[in-house]
Amino acid sequence: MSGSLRSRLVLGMFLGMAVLLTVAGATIYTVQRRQLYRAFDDSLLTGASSLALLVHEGPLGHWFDTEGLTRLSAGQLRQGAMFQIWSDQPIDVLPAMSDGDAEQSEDDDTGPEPGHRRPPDPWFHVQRPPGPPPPGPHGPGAPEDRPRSTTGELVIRSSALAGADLPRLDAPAGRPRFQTITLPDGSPGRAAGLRLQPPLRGPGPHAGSLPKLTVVVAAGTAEIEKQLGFLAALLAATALGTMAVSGGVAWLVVSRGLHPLGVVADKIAALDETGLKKRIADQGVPREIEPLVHQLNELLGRLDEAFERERALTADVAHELRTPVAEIRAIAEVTLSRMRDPQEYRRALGEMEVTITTLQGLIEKLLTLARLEAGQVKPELTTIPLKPLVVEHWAVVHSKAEERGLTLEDQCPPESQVEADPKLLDVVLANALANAARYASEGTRIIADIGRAGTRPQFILANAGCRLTGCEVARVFDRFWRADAARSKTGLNCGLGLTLVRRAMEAMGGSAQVSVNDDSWFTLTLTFPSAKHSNGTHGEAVLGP
Amino acid sequence: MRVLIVEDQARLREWLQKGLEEAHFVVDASGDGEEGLWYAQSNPYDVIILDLMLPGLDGLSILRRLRQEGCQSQVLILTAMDTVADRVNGLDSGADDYLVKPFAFEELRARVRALVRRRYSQHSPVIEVGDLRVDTAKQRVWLQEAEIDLRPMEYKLLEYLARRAGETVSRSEIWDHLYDFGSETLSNVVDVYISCLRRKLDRPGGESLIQTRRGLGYVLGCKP
Repeated sequence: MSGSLRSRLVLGMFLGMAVLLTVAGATIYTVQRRQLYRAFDDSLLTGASSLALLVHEGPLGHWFDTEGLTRLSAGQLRQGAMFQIWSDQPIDVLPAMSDGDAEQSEDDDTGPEPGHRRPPDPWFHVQRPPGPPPPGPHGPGAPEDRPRSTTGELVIRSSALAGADLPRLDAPAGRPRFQTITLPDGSPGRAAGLRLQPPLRGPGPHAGSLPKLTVVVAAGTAEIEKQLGFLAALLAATALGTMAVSGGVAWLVVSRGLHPLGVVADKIAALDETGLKKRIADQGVPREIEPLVHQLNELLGRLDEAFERERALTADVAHELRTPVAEIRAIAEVTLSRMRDPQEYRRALGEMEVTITTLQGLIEKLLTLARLEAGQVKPELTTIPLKPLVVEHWAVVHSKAEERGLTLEDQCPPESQVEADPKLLDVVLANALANAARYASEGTRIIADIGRAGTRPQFILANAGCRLTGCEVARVFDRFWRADAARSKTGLNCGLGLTLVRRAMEAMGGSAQVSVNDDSWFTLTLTFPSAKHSNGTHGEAVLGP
Repeated sequence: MRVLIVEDQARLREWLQKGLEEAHFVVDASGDGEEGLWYAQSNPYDVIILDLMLPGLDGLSILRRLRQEGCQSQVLILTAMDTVADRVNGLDSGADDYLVKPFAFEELRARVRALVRRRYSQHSPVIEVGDLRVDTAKQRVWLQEAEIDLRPMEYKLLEYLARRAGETVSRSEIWDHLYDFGSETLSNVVDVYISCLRRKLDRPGGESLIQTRRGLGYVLGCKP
């Protein structure tokens, strides 16, 4: 499946969605957490401010209104909050409660508002300062056992603290400080510290020396963490659900999107080598796939042409091989149809031998041509004197040429030489001279000469009596090409000879051209590579024998 | 029965001619399209074996010309061109049969015999005229139940007369089906062979199977 485009796309979309949802969830969680803690901190701060307001100025000095604590609304002091107050000046706590003994507070209840009795408040304690109470600057009437703060020593704190201290969060006046702490019971909590002077309420003897208080209020954050945990779980569940759904949707969307590819694939699968004339219809194909379809159609076209060429060659080869095979078979069957005398058998075998030799020559030409066209011939160019080779190959066709009254006028200078592969040059000269000897008008001369095209030497072979038109001349290099359906006795019925000449020349990095002039002279011009030319074609095998 | 071979491959042409002549056909052969056409126009061939790729004039052109001129000869195309399109084209141009090279010579001979039958609107290879029975496939002759031993020339003459049984056949028609193009005309050779046949086929004192139509020719199997 790792190779599946659909899987990759779906996986990519799924992972993208996962990243997106994770980032979004984390952002939501963080923002929510910050807001919750900000509100929490604000409520702690409100509580701290409210506690500071409970410090009053009395005739005997400053006192802390414990009764006021009970009146603090939930909006002012958070439910379950713990607090601790430090003062830099002695403060009375009225009604005072001894450290850790709520009952005792009733005896000491001689607050400035006599007659107002309230139940003892069990949730805070006043910590007595160590040592004997200092001589009171607070004036007479202050009970000795009344807890008083010395400078910064008076500590009022929640009983929930169980004697433990909250961190004293001193901060510049008016600026709160917050800190995440661990509550005495080990649960997580948060503390807000405020350093302030209680506001002055009416004129008093101590108006000029207001105490500076440090109020720290703390509360457990378990509830917030619980809420945040729920939010995190909700976000995670939402993200997972969204990813699952989006994965399914992505699978469907991608499947639908890729459907045209499947359709095109089916069309391609329906093609075989017999259906190369067909093309894949690009109607209804998405724009993105159109180039693919076009390229495939062009490839089909090229394949079709190649197959057509191969079919044509096969048909040509079959046609050319059938006639000699038919001859051999006819000779054999007619000969065997009755008993004959030995001379007749001898004659039949002799004629079969001639036909078989012709057939062998044809097969060898076809093989050479096939190797040349398949690029299996690796020419090894060397410098070869041309004239001796022309003489040698003319000798092969000489007797037949003489029967037709043909003569070779060899104008090649003795020193003329070309860069060529010896075996391929043999193929070229044998076929070129045989062609000229076969198709030149009877009693004429064939002219062989050397020319030059720039630095490239040329071998020129001309014969008289060509009746081909310009169009037909252009086709003389085609395999098995004939001017018309009828075989002409005097036309250029080259068959394979000139095809081989051209292919062999091209393999050596040269070329072959033909032309016919107004006097019906047929000229074959072979251009060889210049002296320092590298190999033309790099094949894998050397031309076979 | 007379056959023309138009085939440019000399050895194939010669061996076809030899094989068909040994099968008692009278064969002319040409290796050139134009010459082949001239042969076909000049002689009443029963079957023409025609190659398609020929020097001078291609086989299909020869065929079309012959059909335009009303030539009645049966034409068998013998070629290396084997595609369906080639066969259809050849048959639609007026050919009666199509055989692709290479071929079995025995098959060619059988096809030529079949074309000869078609040429004379016959279906059976055995021709019966009264008590006379000529098996053209085996090239044997029976009179009543007795097989008659005939020399090749006598058989060729009898087969031709049997194929045209009931019709008056002129001496020149007989000549054309007994001798090929190169043979020299001898005025009385047909009469000589008729006499030979009568000697072998007729019962002494009985009526001759081959009747003479004075000034017209001969007729086989028809009461005077």
